[in-house]
This record gives sequence, structure tokens and C-alpha cells, in this order.
Amino acid sequence: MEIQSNGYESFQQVYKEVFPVLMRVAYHVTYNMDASEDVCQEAFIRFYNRNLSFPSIDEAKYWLIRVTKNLSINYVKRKGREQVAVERIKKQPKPVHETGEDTVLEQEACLRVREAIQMLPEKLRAVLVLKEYSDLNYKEIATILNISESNVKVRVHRARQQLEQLLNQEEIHVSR
Amino acid sequence: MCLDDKTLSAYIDGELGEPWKTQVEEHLVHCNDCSARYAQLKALGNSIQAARIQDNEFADQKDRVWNYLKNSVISEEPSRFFKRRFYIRTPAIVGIAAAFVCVLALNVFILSTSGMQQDIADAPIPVITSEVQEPAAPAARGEMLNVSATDSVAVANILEDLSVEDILKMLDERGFEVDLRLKNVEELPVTFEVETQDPLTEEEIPADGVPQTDAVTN
Repeated sequence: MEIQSNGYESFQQVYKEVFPVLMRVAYHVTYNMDASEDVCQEAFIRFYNRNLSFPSIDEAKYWLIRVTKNLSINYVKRKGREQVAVERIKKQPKPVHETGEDTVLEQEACLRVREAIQMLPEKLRAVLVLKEYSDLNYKEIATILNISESNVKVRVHRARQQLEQLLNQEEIHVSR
Repeated sequence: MCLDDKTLSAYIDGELGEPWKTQVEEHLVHCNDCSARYAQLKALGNSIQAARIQDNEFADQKDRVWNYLKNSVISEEPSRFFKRRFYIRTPAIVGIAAAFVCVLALNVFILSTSGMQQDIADAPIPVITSEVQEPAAPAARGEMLNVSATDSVAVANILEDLSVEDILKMLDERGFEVDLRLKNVEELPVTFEVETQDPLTEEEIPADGVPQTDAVTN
């Protein structure tokens, strides 16, 4: 089905289906809820104003994810992630579940992973976020990032390797 | 041989094709080291997934952004066809542009060569060659023939390669009588006095042009 980016019905359909993916991408790159909201809004404004035509909703989704990823990375660069990383992690919304020791541990583990993702180099972080939080396969990620599938495979592997090292280092620090 | 992390990572993502997928599965059954590493990577993947933001956490943002877009950006009017832009990937654009340039260049080349051939075919080369085929006919009839090199570019190019002497020589060989005159130049009356008393001292009339006239008296 052809998607016309400034057609009301097409736009509404794309918004409903794609907004959650965009929000996940933006959030896991910026780890800032307000910034993610702004980035998603900007991506959809650009989508509408560009007046583009896509052969399918998937193509429209790839375009929007690419724009969102770039806007998010630009935001992170602008703000200087290293300096404010800890503050952002503290400000992020905490899932409301039943309280208990296990839940607290889970939340701490969640924060450690998010912190470690933030410390990854930009290229590895983008690929990992797209793989883990956008439910895309290697081919789709390659299309979005305009790189080869084998390059995606290598980057995903390296991102996991570095993430594992970062988490292990953190565990060592905590245990000390 | 044991499996490396890259292969295990691709296997976990479901991106390993056959027969490697089956080989990895069989290897994991028998190799304790690889299955332990596989378990570690799976646990890492679970930790990453546990950190995933859930849809209900940004439900407010979804509504808020939609309301903003609906009120301030999008309109419910149908879009006009001529305002549409089509999304084509960059390599496709480059390919189309390259193909267009190739076709254009080929067209120009073909047209220029065929045009040149047409020029030569249409050229009144017979201005020279046809006279070769009918030698001396006009001259024999005592008629005057105007030869023009400006009727055709091709002929002009041919004549450019020849000097005036070559042209005169060629026409002379073909039996034409050529009369060259300078415009607006009148011939000066020249009188030669010939001493008839001593024929041995009689001056020779230069052979280069001044014709014998009635003015020459004995």
C-alpha cells in the first residue's frame, strides 16, 4: 500500500504504527523522555512537510527511524552525554511494579544496562538500539543505516562485547 | 573447532542461515565451553531486553505529540498530486542520472555523426567532381561558370585545403579556362613602343599578363 506522507489517513496510520518504535529508538539513544518526545515530534513534522511518497509503510518506517536516530544522536552530541549521563538516568521514569527486593534489584540492573549503553561509541550504540529495541533484522538495519548486512552483524557483535565488558567492570566496582 | 562470539551473536539473533544454523545447534549440544558462552550471551540479551522502555511508559507522550501534530501541522485536506514528492533511494537516483547522461551522450554522438554524413552526402561536391565528369563542356561552349564554395560547409572545408594555385591547376587540367579579375581595378593603358628598325633590339612583351592591345603600334 502506497503511503503519502502528507495524506491525512496515511499519516495517521503511520503515526499509530511507528510512533512506539521511534520513541524507543529516541529514548534508548538519549535516555531523556522530554528530548525523545521532541525528537519524535520533529521527525513526524519533517515526514509530513517533506510530502514524500513511499511504496509501503515499512519504507516510511525506515525513513522515520533514520531521521529519529540522527536527531537523537545530534541531541546527545549537543548536550554532551558524558557530563549529564548520570542525571538523565536518574530522571528516567521507573516502571511501576510491585515493590520488593527483587524489583529493586531488577531496576538497578536496568539502570546499569542503560548507563552502559550510553557509554558505547555512537556507531555501536545506534546499531545495538536498532537491533534490540526496534525489532528489526540485520537487513532492515542495513537499509536504515546504509551499510552492508555483514557490517551490521559485526557492529552488533562488537556492541554486545563492549557492553558485556562495561557491565562486568561495573560489577567489579560494585563488589569492591 | 569452537564457535566464536560473532557466530553465536548472529545465531541468537536468528540471522544464521543453513547449514551453519544446524551445525551451531549440533555443536552446542556437544561442546560445554560453547554452550556456556551461549548462555552468557543469552543472559546479556535478556538484561538488554529488561532495560527496554515499555509502550505504556510513553502513552502520554504519544497522545500529546499526536494532538500537537493534528492541531498545528497536518490538515485533513487531500494532498494534491502535483505537490507530491517521490521517495527514491540515493543509489537509484545516481543510477538513473548516470543512465540518462549515457543515453544523452550516445544520442548526441549518433546525431552528430549522422549529421556529418548527411552534410557530406548533401554537399555539392559535384561543384568540383561533377565538372570532372563533364570535362570542358561549359568551357567548350564558351560559357562562364561560377564556382561557389559557400553553398556547403563540406565543400568549403574541401576547398580550404587547396591553395588557389591548386584550384587553378586542377581546373586547367579539366579543360576550364579561368579568368581571375580583381574587382574595381581598371586596367591601365600600357603603350609599348617597338622599334621596327632593329628587330634584334625589340623588347619582349612580358608574358605575365599585359595583353597586346591596339595601343601597341608598330
